Amino acid sequence: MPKTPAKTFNVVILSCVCILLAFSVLMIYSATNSVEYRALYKAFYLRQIMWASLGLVVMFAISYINYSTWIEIADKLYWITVILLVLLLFFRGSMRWFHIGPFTFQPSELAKFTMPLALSRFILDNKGKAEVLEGMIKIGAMIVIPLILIIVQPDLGTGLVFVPLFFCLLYVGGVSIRYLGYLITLMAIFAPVYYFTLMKSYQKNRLLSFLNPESDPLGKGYSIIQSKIAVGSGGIFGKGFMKGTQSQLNFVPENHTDFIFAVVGEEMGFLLVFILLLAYLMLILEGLKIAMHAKDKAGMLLASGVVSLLTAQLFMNIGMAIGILPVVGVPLPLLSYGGSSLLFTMALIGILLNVHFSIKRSSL
Amino acid sequence: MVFKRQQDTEDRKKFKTILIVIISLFVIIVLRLFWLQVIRGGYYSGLALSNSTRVIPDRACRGLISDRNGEILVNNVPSFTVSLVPADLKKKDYVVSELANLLELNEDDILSKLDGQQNRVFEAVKIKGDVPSQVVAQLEESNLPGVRVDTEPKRNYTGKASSCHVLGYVGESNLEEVSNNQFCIGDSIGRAGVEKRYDEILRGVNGSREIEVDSAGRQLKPAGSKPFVKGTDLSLTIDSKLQNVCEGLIRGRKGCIIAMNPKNGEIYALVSYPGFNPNIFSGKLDKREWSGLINSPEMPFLNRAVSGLYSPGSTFKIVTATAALEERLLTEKDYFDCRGIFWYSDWNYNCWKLDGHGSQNIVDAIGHSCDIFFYQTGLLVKVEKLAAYSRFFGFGTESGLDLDGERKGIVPDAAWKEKFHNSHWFPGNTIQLAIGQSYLLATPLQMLDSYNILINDGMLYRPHIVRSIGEQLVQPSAVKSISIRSEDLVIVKKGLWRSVNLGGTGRNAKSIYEIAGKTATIENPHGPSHASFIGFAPFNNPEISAIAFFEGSGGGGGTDAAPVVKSVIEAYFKIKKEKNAKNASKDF
Repeated sequence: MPKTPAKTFNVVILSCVCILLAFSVLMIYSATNSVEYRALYKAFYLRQIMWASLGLVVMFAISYINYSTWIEIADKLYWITVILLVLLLFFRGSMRWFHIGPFTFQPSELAKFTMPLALSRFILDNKGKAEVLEGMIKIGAMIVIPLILIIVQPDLGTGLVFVPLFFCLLYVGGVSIRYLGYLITLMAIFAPVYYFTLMKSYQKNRLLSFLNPESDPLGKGYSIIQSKIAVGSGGIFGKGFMKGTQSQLNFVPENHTDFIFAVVGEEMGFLLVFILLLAYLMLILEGLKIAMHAKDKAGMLLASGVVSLLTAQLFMNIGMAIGILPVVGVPLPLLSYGGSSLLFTMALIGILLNVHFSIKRSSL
Repeated sequence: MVFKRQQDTEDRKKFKTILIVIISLFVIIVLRLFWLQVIRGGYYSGLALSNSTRVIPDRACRGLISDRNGEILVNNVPSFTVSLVPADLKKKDYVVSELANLLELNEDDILSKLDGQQNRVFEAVKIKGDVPSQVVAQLEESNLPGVRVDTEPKRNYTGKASSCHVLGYVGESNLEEVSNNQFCIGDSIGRAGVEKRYDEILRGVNGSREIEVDSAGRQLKPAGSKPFVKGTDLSLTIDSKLQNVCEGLIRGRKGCIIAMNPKNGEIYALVSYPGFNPNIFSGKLDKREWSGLINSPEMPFLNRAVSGLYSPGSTFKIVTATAALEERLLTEKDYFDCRGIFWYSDWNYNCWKLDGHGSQNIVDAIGHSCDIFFYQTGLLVKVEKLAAYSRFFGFGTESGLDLDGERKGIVPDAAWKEKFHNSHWFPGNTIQLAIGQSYLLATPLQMLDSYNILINDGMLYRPHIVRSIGEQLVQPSAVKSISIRSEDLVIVKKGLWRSVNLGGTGRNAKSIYEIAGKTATIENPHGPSHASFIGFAPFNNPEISAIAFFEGSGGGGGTDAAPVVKSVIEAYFKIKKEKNAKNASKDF
């Protein structure tokens, strides 16, 4: 056993990430080519290149930090996140961003990074207890605080992303299926209460227009219909790079951020989208493999958290773009334009890579 | 070690579950994509295309209408049209109210037009045509989403001959016609005259322009076009110079003038007065102006030549005369004595000349328009034969002129009176009928046609106003041919010659062009008497026949109408001479 273990990067993850990032830059270039976008800001794709490069640096840097470090500082990160979310609530009112110089910072994206860490830490600290009711109430309270803070921003989408993370980590952490079943029942009871009390009218509209988009094609149902038309009209082979009329002529709103998949679907077509999905699937399954082979529970929980976050966001984003889920503002990981989302996603993948190192180390 | 392995298998099971969940989610996405992109791809491509494509109707230019000499009477001029694209109407209430304001329209009118074309949201709906350029400038400044300004052909009546009743006018398609999917909102449709009768020929086929737009409805680039097919041109039988002469002669009076070729039915001139300016219908139409026209007691829309019904009066005497001669009830040698009054049982009937004409044969009677002679002749012929001859001469049926609104008139007889007046036919009715009064009603064109039959020795050609459709000439067609013995025709024509040329009632029409004809002064139960004159020339080989009919003029046919027909016929020959001279000089 050598003193310094031979660190090998996970080739599958690295290549998938690089392919997706390259794809992202191309798609953002295409999506922001119209006059409106160029008037707004000249080169979104240049910014995305910058963020992607920065993201790669962050990813590599974090991959060298032992993941146990993250577990150690997880509770501090958790409270920082909560404080930032509270500050946002007080100082910005109903907003999702802090402005830092020319850039904006989205604390809810930070939460996507810190929540899996904090949840893992909590499950590790309460080994055995997490399985019983007392532990579950604690862990529930822990996730509910930031969840509520995010939902009142209002950012329902990001809030919803934490639900599968929560279930996944509890499940991997050892809570029995039975308890999780109770929880789901509880949430099903809470959902209508939430709908009638806390939900903002625009969120209700989105939900209603999802159920029947044709009822108001130029109003509430507009983005769902236009996105479906964009994806559907791509056909098998797509309309070609920068040739999608739906995307290029701005029929699809937010086509460089939340609706980037509409551009992909329209310009690339079914076959290339299938390949893109394969890249995502390979990335996610590789993450799952890492989780499964992690040398300890901490690594397993962290990797599972990353996998569940990626999967949840991917499914919610694409599901919205193809009209099987209501419109909620969730970015497509690694593809949507946006610095915070990209950086924290890359940071999570960095942790995943470090978990991967640990397997190599022990197997040597 | 045993514990560890058990933990391992448990973990393995968990990850297998998670794996299944992840794979299922991906399968859901792929299946949905397969549905959207592969199975329904064509459908969504169509939607994407119409999403970014706006269809602007490219309205066809209607065919030109020219007179017999190629003078353009109706053409098309460019005008600004404001339309709305429903799909681009982002702020509908705001845009509609702004538009209503700028275009001086009712908001409800705009909304009903939009609803009229509801199923075609990517197609521009015409809101208003003939918009003045200042308003267009204002519109472009306010930059309302979904509003388009295009240039379109507008019907223009050049005024070379203000023959409104011949040409008619066009109007915009109404919502009913649009809902039958025959037309688009804003299409021009012939509403009267030649424009209406020949609408399908003149109309042409609309084209369309497709324009790629972005989500804000901004025009980006043309995406294809289907050019319109221009309507077919029409050439009329009208001679605009003669038409203008007639216009000048009738101005200020109520009535009509028709001049035509008795040998083939071509109408050279047809005016009815009062009239209207057909240009007012092509663009904006002031509602007040419209209701003023439509409710006017002068009835400017009535084409008196074919839709006005009057008793023909003394011009009808040729029918009575022909009937008596043909039925051998009378010869040229038979004389009646006119003492100015005629007694039949206990009733008396005056001649228009109260001191009487003295002894008259049929030629004298026509020449002097002696009523007493024809009262007695009518009694000889009897009502059945009189009615039958009226029908031979074209009364009671439409002449077949290619304009709408022609009326049949009434040829009364015993059965007719029984049916409509529930009363017997009295000899007094026959007496009245013999001089063209009583219940007999006819249009001025029918009156003229009865003379055309006489002039043409029994042949009648269908009067027509369109000389050629595109390149194709309209062939004259004979409507009927009745056999009248030529010696009888000679007698009646002699009477008509006498009327004008030998000091008869028509002497005011005497001319170097050998005009013959007949006057009529018609009793009008509703007011002053009508005056008319029907003439033709040259006597021996007539090439023009004309009628002037003045409603309620109060004057006599000889004083009011005969000079007008004379002027028309003289103008005809003058125009003909000029044309011949021009053609001759061309030959040199």
